[in-house]
Amino acid sequence: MTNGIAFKIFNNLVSRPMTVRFPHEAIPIPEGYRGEHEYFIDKCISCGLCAKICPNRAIEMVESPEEIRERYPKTYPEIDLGKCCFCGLCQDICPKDALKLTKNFFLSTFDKNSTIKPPIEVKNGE
Amino acid sequence: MGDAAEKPLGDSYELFLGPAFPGLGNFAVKLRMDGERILSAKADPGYLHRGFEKLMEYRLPIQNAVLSDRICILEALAWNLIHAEAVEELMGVEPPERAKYIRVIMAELSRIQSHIIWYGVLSVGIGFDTGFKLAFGYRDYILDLFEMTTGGRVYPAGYICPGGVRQDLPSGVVKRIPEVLRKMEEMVDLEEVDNPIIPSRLEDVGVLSLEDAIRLGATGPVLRASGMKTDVRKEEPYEVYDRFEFEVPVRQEGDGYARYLVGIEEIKQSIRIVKQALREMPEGDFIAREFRKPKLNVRLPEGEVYVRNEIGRGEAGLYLVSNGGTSPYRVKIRGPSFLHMIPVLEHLLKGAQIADVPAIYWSLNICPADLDR
Repeated sequence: MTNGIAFKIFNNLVSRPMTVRFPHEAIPIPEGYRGEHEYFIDKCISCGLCAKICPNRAIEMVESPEEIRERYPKTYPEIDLGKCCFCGLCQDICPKDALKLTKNFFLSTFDKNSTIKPPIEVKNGE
Repeated sequence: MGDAAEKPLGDSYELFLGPAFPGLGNFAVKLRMDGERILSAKADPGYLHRGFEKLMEYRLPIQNAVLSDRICILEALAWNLIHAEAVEELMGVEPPERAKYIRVIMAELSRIQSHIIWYGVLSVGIGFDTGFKLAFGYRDYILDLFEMTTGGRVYPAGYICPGGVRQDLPSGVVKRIPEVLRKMEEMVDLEEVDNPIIPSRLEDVGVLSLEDAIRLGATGPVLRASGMKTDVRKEEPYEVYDRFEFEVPVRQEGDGYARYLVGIEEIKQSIRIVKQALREMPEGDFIAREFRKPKLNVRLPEGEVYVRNEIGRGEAGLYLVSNGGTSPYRVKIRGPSFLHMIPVLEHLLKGAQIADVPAIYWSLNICPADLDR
């Protein structure tokens, strides 16, 4: 009995049965994880269902910036990740699959304003 | 015990335990002390109050399903299930067969991980830190399953929703569950190791007689450890529990050690249930057709309903009243910890030693979150 425990302790010291060395290696995130949103503005039909079903009222329908208002004249969801509970109801209710939750969970920030995710940021490069 | 209670309070003093004390977890107890002996105890909840009953009156049932995770962090799926059952009973919806099996599997896995946490916090309460680390390490195997199924490790975000479950059980999870159950059996073996610390700290500590347990409203493992054979899953089977074979562990002693042993036995029974459910799980739909896509204008029919379930901590209930609107008119949540943490705890602490407070407190398998809700 004692020998067995001593062997197990030694074995666990070298084998690390439960942990990984995080920054160097990570446990893979499974499909269907509820992380940061991905938003496709060209698929969006501005129905506003995502804003209505959001339990935390984290989604607000806002107008697009002045420069591109001709191309995107409607209102689009602006997501406040600080209020979001990552339930995925917006993804489920979206009739056009314009909103999708990704595997990205690295969302901590020092700047409170950076939690707000404007709808058009995705296409800003154009 | 009798002498201590009769002693005048002249030279006694008051000791505040909590609420910001890691040993008790967002819950306060005011102790009237005579040296090291407790003359009387007064539970002081409220630090974790979030007002779920009122919040639920403003939200749709599908949003409430997401909210119901937060009632008890350690048993989110069990609370999901209670809320979903209440809404279904009110609306007269029957979830598909496969959904019922998935629900039972999830609820039982949730019970196993909650009981493992119980073992962990009880260990740290009696000064056996290794148990705490073991418990939280092994619990992560179950959280991995939750992450693959629901998309979140701790919060399933209304995975068990009115009408069924939000996603089908992935085939990867079905393959992985037996492996995780083997790990849980390993954990149970570790809990059953002949460890003198646990009986020496828990035997004859916090003895709750059957009479007192019934009078003070104890349910679940606490009542079973005091000698009453009771389990909602057997008495009033919900979902498909009547199709599974499992035993209800009972012990007569009523002390902390009896509660600990009942907890271990319940993990074994839950493992049995999950194995049977996996074997018998049928193919088919995982959610009723009318609930497949979340809808905003679903009206709750007028009426009231009360459902009760056996969760890890005891008997939990949800009372839902609707006057025909889209949101419930009134929601009342019955958390099993409420009676365990106020009358039972006050009763058990009277006359105990200060060193036994964490042992008694954690042996009741309580969660301040579902007390304050």
